[in-house]
Amino acid sequence: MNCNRIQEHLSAFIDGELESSLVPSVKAHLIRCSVCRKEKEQLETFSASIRAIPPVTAPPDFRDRIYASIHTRTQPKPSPFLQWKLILAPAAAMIFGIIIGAYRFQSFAPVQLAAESPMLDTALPISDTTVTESNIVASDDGVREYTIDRYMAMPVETIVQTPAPESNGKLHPVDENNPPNLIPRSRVILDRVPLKAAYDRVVY
Amino acid sequence: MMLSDDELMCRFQDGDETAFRRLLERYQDRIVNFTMKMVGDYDTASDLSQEVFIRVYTNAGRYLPGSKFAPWLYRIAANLSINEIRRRKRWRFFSIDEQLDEDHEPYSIDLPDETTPSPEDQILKREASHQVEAALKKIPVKYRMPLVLREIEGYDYEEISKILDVPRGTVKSRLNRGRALLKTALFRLDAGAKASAWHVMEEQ
Repeated sequence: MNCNRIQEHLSAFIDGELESSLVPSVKAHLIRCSVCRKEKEQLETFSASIRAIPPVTAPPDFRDRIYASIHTRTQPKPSPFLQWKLILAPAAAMIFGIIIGAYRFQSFAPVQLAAESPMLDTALPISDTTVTESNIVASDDGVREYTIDRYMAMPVETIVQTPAPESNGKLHPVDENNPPNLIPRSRVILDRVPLKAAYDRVVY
Repeated sequence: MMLSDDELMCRFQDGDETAFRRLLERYQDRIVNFTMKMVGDYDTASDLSQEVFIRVYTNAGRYLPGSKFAPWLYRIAANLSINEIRRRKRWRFFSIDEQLDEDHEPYSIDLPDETTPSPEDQILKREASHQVEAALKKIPVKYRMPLVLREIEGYDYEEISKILDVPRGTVKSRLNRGRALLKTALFRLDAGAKASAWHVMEEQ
């Protein structure tokens, strides 16, 4: 073997990992070749210098950090069902809000129509208002009750609404001369009763 | 009684937490030292080593009883180190020092002339170590890793091939090439002579 071939094997030779069949020829070459011998000595020197690099050690809190991290990572995760619930809860709340909003919008619909409905006789005292089916409007505050309204022949912006009065089955007149508040609604709530009770009063 | 790594790992697989703690105590410094040689800075090496043991903890079930624990552990450390080096390269954060590759000349760093008398042996020794370490960093990781596993960790070619998941012949050629690159880097750093000087001193 020439020097180039020998030098290719020197690394494995100094590690004691060279194939046994090649060892005798490498040894023989090193005895007679000073260049390759020097090359081998240099490799050994560099190996020793790598081994001499001062080792570093783990920081003092190394184990504590590992255990803290393991503890965090091995905490039981929420079940997939719970995770879905966490995702679905806001969605459900949003849908519920949309439904309520739509419901409220719908409950205003008769009000809006009321402005265009045939004019009622506003000269009559409210207590004398005849209850017809058109006076029964679904309550807009989410309560499962219906209001008996009297549509007012007034511009929407100036219509008076009273709070729904508590009822004992009788119509509660609204003091139109002293309206409790002014909001752009077009109805006066005359009473607030369950649907069946409202229909009981309808004069057909 | 001193339990083997494999016995400790089997005990840990059976739920014995103290077995994990003993493995951790046994290998923490070696793994920090190994990753330090790979990534070059202590904080990152410490974080990577932490992750190595967390992986051992969480993937203990993947360890095959009867196989050698250390190569398995070092393989995790090697993979995490390679990932870290690749990540740094992607973000170009790796090092201001350019790595030495097969077709690239390294930077030359001005060091004291080899004939400069050193006032203290310890200073010379420390400096030589720093230069070897600096030269090692300039070697591409695919050559550096087997070199560190061989010279610092003391693994034989067979074990290195298992850790790096490459054939034994590849380990042999990478070590050969790695040593040649180290030699080039050391001489480029003008530290080869210092390493030699230190080695001579050590022998004395």
